[in-house]
Amino acid sequence: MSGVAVSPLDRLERFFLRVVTHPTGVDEGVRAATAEGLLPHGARRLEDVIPGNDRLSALEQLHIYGFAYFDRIVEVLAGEMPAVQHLLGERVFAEAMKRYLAEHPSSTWTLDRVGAAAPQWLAEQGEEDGTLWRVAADVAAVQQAMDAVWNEPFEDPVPYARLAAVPMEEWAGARVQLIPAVRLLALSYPVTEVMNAARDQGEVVLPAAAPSWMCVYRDDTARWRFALDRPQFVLLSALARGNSLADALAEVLELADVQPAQLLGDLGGWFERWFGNGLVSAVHITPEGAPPPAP
Amino acid sequence: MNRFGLPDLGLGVGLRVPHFSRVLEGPTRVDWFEVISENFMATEGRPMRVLEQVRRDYPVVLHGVSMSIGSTDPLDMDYLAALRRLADRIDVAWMGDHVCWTGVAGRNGHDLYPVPYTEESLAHVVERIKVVQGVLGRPLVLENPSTYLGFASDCMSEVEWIARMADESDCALLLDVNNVYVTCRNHGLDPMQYLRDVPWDRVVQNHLAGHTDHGTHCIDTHDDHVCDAVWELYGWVQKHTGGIATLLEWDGNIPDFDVLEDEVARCREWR
Repeated sequence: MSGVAVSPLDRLERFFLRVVTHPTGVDEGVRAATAEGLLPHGARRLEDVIPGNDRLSALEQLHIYGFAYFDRIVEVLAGEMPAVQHLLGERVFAEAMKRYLAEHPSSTWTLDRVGAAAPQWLAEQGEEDGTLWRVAADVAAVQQAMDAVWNEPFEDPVPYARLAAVPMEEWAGARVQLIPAVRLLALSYPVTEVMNAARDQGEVVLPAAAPSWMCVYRDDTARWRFALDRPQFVLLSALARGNSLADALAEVLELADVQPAQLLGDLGGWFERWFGNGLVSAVHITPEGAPPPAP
Repeated sequence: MNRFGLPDLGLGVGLRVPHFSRVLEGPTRVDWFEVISENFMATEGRPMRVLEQVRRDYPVVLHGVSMSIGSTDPLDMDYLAALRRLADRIDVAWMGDHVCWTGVAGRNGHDLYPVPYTEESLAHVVERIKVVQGVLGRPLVLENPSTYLGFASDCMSEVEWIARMADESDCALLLDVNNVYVTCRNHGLDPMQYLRDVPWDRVVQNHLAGHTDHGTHCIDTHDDHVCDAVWELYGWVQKHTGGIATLLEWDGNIPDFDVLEDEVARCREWR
């Protein structure tokens, strides 16, 4: 917490929040807040601030708020990252998220941002073999992407015919505009099977580390994910940045293991699938080398 | 009728994600919906599309949890601006929050923390309500909280403090009947006396909900049916006032929509 309390009300609120959000519980919170000089003016002990009653002591009353603080936010994080909870198990997940919350307390009005740093934080856990935690980090990143696309605005998708109708001579300069409700993820583990197992409440087998790529998107009513290979990821990412088809394909061809003939053979099928999924909201035809159209 | 001229909307329920599809299918046996403001303030996606579709068929009320009207931190003007935009866009019947604070010194606990009932806190909150009402361009509807502790510095009862707050700031009130019951149980107070002291001409809405009774205390959990004692209090309120828009809250262990509709049907028996 920042600043210095300036009024009795301010001091009381700072004392209260310090106590009920203390990571090891309100008992330690009272000791910490007292040692830090947060006890309201004129008070020498907790009961001078919160008298309690004949059924519950002041500490027991504070426990209600202390329990609710962690319980509520861990519940929110579990709702945001259910596959991470399944992977780690309820108890480990709850303990981990309490530690996370102690290091990343919320400073905004929305609970949607409380878990923003969780993927990075999870990746840093686990001292010797951190595989479980690094997989959890990737799963968390996918689930946060699924939350993000849920809240993106709608744009009507266009059919593959729109791209197919582009004249050959203008094809290289065409730009394919993705809908806002799409995220492209580069991961350290192939987590599709982990997420499927979590969705089906099945047993999780930890995958070996391997660079992996995924597309997450939302259509009219539901969220979806599918794995990409590296050329697909590079191509879609380049298109998402507003590059022309020619420039995007040039990026793909810079990859060591991509052969031009193979790429050209695959391309039609890729685009057919992506358009079919509703990932594309416009095809802009501009001269090659011209800047992309304003959004 | 309340002094703000706000209508009795009838009986509503909270609009929650598990019920989106069912509500859109329609018809339902409820008259209106309340939404948690914060769930719709930062989205242009599926939640907003659903809300706009629901609004075509029902009145909608915004009920927030993050205004933190009792905090000593400065009011979050970006938050208030976003709230105003949402209210205008949805053309809400009214909008409100809670008599509480949710954080201080830049930290947010995301809970409804109790305000000490002192002259200092009263003056502080009254001034903030006036600012908020100016930004929102409408009366703010504030709800009495469920509280689990009192402060040694309290110098008046909760209902006296809230009545003075409403009078001095000219705000409206949401009287949560379950919260009255829970708070009175937790502090050894008489809920009927609480209700008799409410300034009813400022009350535009009631809440009903289930709670968890731990024997030594009650917790406002919103995860069960309304208990008989709360129904009795609600019956008194409706008879005393001639009818107030009522919202059934159910936020934990959310049941199928028809269970909510059945509970709403029970409300009708008390009106």
